[in-house]
Amino acid sequence: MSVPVIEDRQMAYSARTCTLEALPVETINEILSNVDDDSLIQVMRVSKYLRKIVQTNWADILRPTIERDFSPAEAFFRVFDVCSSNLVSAFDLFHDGDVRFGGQLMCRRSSGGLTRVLRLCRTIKQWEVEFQRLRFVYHPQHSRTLRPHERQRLRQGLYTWWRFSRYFHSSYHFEGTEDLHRFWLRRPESPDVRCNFVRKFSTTQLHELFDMWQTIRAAVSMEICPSIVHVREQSVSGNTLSRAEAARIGWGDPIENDHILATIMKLCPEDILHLLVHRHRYATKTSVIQFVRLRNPFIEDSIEMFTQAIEVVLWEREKMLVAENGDDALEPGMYFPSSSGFPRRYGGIIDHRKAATERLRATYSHDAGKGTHHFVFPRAMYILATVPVGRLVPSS
Amino acid sequence: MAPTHISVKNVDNGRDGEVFTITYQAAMQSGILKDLISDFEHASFDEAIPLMGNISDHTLGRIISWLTIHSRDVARITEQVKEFLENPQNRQPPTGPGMDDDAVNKALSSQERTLVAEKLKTLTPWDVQFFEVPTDEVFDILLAANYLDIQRLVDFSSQTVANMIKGKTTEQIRDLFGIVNDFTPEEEDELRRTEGWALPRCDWTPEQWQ
Repeated sequence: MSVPVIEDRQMAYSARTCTLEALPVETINEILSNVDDDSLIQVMRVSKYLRKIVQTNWADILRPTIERDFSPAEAFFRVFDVCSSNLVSAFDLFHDGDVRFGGQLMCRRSSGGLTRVLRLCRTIKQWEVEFQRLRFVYHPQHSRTLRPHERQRLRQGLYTWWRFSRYFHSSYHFEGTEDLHRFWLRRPESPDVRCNFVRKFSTTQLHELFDMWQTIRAAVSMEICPSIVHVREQSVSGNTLSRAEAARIGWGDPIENDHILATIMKLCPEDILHLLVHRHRYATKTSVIQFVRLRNPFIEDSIEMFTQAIEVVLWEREKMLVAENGDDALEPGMYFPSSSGFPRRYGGIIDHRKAATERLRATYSHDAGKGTHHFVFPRAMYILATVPVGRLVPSS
Repeated sequence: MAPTHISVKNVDNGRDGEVFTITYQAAMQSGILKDLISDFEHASFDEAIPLMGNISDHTLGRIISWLTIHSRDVARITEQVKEFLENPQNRQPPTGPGMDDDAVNKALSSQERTLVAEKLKTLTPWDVQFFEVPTDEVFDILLAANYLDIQRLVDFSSQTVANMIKGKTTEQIRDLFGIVNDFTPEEEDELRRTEGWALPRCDWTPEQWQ
């Protein structure tokens, strides 16, 4: 009578010794898939053999980590323009082929998928830490760490921002295709392309996204490029700065400062994070400008369009609801807040204070991609939106 | 008819080892034991089934104790989750007015499946104690579980080894598992230069601090 034995498993067991490297590769994969991304980087430096295993099987190894710590995983891979939730096929996509979006070349893929994934993990983790500090900066008495589901909302927002910035704000991904980049920005239908991107998200997601965006925008305007007025307001009372003195520190008058802020916000999330964390390394305005220009040589072509795109789509959704259900559809004053409201103490990424308001998240989470009330950019607005003048250097 | 108890005779490197008795339900968790039992179905179960896994008696004994403890887990945890979900407050997403019964049931059963799968993957305090043994013994259990095709035990022991790795530096991992560093100093410099961003700050070279 034959005894069913799986040959290689038995051989693996017979050849056992007590080092990690002696285990069969599938078992090492199994172990490493339980390790977080930071430890995986350490494991890659232990020995050549382990490094090879990680480099070969990273798609299998990292998938559980990403699903566990960086959910939603689908959105995570979308940062790399990978639409499928199947990472193995994503793995092939990383290495060759360009990405097309609406028939246009959006970016060229480069090799080194593992490094990019690990780097994204690292940046997202740092953002999670940093964001907690920024979110409650106006309400220090309410400051706390983010809850797990709030972190998930934040990550979803970051992934979306990342994609938007790659599609519409970046230039360094377009190596050798600068003209195409400029062409893309100036196409007549450009503003609508951006809105279409944003329309794919539900109202709930847009509110979370907008909260995150406004929080970070406010932080950048405070910490990286404060306006002259802001500098004078912040100066210690009794030691007021003259305008000329403030102009040396600040970044232009409020309107000009808005343009500068809108230009800097075109940087990708990783660079913004770098500026926020390492602001102390950039002693002068010139050094900040230098960094920004290095990261994105064409940044002064235009200002960011993210704020406008979200605002337009939120406005559309409001009109849609009113058209469908009459004025009663809107909860009084709560769910469609004015755009200047964030960052507030509650709402957006943070849980609402009242359970009734919190339930609205579920109510408004099914309207992604619905477009019965599309806002068409009038000619005048198109000119405003597509003759973009970015600015980094204040005039005075 | 399925027997209630099975005897398994361990054969380690051709030598007959101990004979273990295990309940049918517990044995069914192992793919290999399941296959063996189905192969021996027509014979009487009076004689012990030989298990040629080259597993030491000590390790097999431990694995059988693990199988016995966890034999009723699936049924028990499913029951717990069902009880937990009876409270509408625990349901995710909360059932809204716009949803019909089908959608509610679908959402509930998918949440139940996720919760059960999650709970089955979580180490209990008993398992934590089970794995409080020297590293090579954990590897023995891992390899034996892999051979016996007990997916849950493989998961648990992988988690245990992974927990040992977490939070350790490269050097500490080498010490823990007795791995020799085969990178040349030049290669290490190269790694530091190209992947400097991935290192903790304490490992940064002076240039990276600039």
